[in-house]
Amino acid sequence: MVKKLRFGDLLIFLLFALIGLSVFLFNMGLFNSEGDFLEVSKDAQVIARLELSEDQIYSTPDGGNTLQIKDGVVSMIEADCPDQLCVHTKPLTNSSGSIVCLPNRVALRIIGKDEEEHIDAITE
Amino acid sequence: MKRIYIPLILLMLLLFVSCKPEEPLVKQDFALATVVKITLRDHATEELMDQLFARLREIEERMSMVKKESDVYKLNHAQGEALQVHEDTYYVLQKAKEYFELTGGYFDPTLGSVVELWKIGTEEAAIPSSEELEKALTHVDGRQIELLDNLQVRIPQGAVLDLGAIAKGYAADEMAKIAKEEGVTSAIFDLGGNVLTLGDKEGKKFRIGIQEPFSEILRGSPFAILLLSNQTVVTSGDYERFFEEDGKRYHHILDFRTGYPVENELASVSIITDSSIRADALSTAVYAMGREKGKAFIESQENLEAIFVTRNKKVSVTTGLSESFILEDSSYHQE
Repeated sequence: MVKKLRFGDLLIFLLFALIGLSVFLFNMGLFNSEGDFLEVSKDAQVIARLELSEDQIYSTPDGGNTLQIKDGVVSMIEADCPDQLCVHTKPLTNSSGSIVCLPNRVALRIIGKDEEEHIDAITE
Repeated sequence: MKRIYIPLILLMLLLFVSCKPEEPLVKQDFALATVVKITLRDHATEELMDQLFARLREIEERMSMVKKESDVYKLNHAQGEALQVHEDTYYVLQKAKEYFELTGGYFDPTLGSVVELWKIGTEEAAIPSSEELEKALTHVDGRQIELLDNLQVRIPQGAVLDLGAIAKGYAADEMAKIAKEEGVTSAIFDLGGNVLTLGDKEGKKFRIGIQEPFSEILRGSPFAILLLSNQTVVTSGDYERFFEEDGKRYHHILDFRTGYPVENELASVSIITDSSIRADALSTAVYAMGREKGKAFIESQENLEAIFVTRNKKVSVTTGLSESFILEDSSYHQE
């Protein structure tokens, strides 16, 4: 009972293949419209999610901390805290590490962007 | 005819479920005077995360030097009276006394009277007068802590407990215990640089960076990588908390004999072992001992590894770490 493939069957077949392919690509992150972003939190509450792909300068609502995103690199450029340790923390380029301002209870970390040589934590 | 679609549909379903591994759950908050970051890589739920942070808060509420309701605060203000404390506090004090004896006083939970004078880590940090220090030193002696029956504890009038060099380690162990009971097999507990790893990442060890102890410009930059699984690493160094006066650095690890910051050839010491309370207490003690004495001490103990970094960038690691320590910065010399 071999029937010939009809045009409709072929169409459905192609449709399925297309859906399958796009799901696959989406999962691989190729169509990831959200992209990698920077999470800014204060008192452990997330107060902003910033696109890493957009160069920008962001200040916390109280004006205590100002950060910069440039070419995907995040750095704290200004803080009103006494120790300035956050300003002197190595800029972030991927999800390894974070920048923390302990006096102002502000923390920055990158979500998404991972690297082969990812560091899971730093002992200090 | 329709049957040819079935394998196709199955294939597509497979694509939906299998491509992305479970995202780890990460939460960061402030406790025990530092930033605490927990990463749960499996069996992660918001409820469990909340439970872990609640346990952390509980320990903080009992062992803080500044919170007026804490056991430690109450003992410090009990004028020599015995008080009943929570079993957490009692256990940590027991451990603290044990490490005091073991290290010959290099770890001392009664250094509080001296710590209070320096106020390092606050804006009021200043050099105390030698008279003040001398007086404060008369109250420094871990043997003065009396652990009585029924969770009663007594310290003499004038003595000041400071569990800052041991409470974080205890908290890490306690949180890992809860996570384990809830079925978590892969997690990281990072309490301001005290790192405890549970399990590994899909069969690969966790990669823990070791903070470079010199450049204040680049906090968050490791000079070496340590591969860890089911172990903890705690680092002590003079770069963590300090203030400067007349070009001289005064850091937070104080000498129990002089009352001044410890001065030796070490820039940092990292201790690697199974229990974080042990690593926490001993990292402070071994840093205070200095390189030679510290090394001899490490070698005299079971299941205890260490990384020593001197001010002239010489790095030495104990034999148990030869496979898991990777030096990345070539300006350091490994011995």
